[in-house]
Amino acid sequence: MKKIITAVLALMLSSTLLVAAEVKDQKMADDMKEMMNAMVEIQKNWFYENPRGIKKGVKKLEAHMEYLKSSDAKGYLPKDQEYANKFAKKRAEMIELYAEDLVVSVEDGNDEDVLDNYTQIMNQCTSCHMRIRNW
Amino acid sequence: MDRRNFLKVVGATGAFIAVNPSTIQNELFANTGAMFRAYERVQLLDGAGAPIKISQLKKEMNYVFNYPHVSTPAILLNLDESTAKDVKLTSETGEEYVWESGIGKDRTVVAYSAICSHQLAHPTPDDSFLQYVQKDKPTMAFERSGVIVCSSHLSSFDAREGAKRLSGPAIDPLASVVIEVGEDDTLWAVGVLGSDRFHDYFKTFKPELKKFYGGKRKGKKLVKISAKTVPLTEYTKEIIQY
Repeated sequence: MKKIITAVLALMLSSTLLVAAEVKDQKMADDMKEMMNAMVEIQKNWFYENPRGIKKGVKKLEAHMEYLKSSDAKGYLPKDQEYANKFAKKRAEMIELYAEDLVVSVEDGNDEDVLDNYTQIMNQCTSCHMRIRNW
Repeated sequence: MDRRNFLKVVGATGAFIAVNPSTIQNELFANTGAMFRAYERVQLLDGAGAPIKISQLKKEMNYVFNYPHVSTPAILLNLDESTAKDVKLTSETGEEYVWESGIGKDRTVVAYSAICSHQLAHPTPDDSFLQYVQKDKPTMAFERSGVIVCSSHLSSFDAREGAKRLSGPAIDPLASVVIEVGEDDTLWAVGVLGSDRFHDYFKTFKPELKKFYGGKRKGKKLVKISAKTVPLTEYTKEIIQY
């Protein structure tokens, strides 16, 4: 009987952990999708010369950064790239820094700086994604 | 001014500049084809403001000072073996130049710009992805240690040979900071040799410069008179080394 109870408990624990991991993965996937949408929004509004829209896009980007900033990148980096978790974390911090400066550039009416910051955010995204996908 | 006095002034000025190239704040192209940019001659001081003496430098320790701009970090090293002499280096754009050697009695003391020539990773007060890896510590970037490693993308550079690229995605060597040793054993930075990437650095890290130095313009200011030189462990909160 003891063995059965232990086995059931172990099964319950492992399935709970599995579900938790799936939920975490799903959360990150959702955040990433929203971040991508935010980048599209920023770019579109830059073309339309709509400062309010750009700032809204930046807010959206920042709102979906929390998981990326707080999670351990080892969880989503490929095995051979796990060592680069601090690199990934740094990219997240840099995105935040450029996003903050992007808002300042919008408020200053400095279109060139807005574009520079946008490009830098894209650079941070791609440099990490290149690692994740082993490009 | 008569002709004789005029010639005396021109001759004396020429001789002075020949002896002290760092008095010219401009690019100089030496006979070797080497590209060298002179900046203000700056004395390296420790954290307490005392002159750093070459004989006091610990072997294989990463020291950091900002030069030639107040926000551009450079690494100072006292290697545990003599550096090579007259190393021919080639920049990404094909320019060739000669890195003469380290300085000091055994030619072991070198200084390089700590801005990676690949994607400009560099030590900041928060963290450092670029530093010299001591011989007894492993690195993933190259088959042996005792090299400068950028842990962002695992490029490595030969500290003994003018920071020429050894492995990884970087192509250019790190730029060298030209240093001199005074008669009293003190150390002075006088210029930069090679592709320095400062222009890209200022453009890329504008928000970071704002965070640490109060803005891009302030970060671009040239270092004058002296440069505070501290161990990397004091310069930054976290060292990231693979």
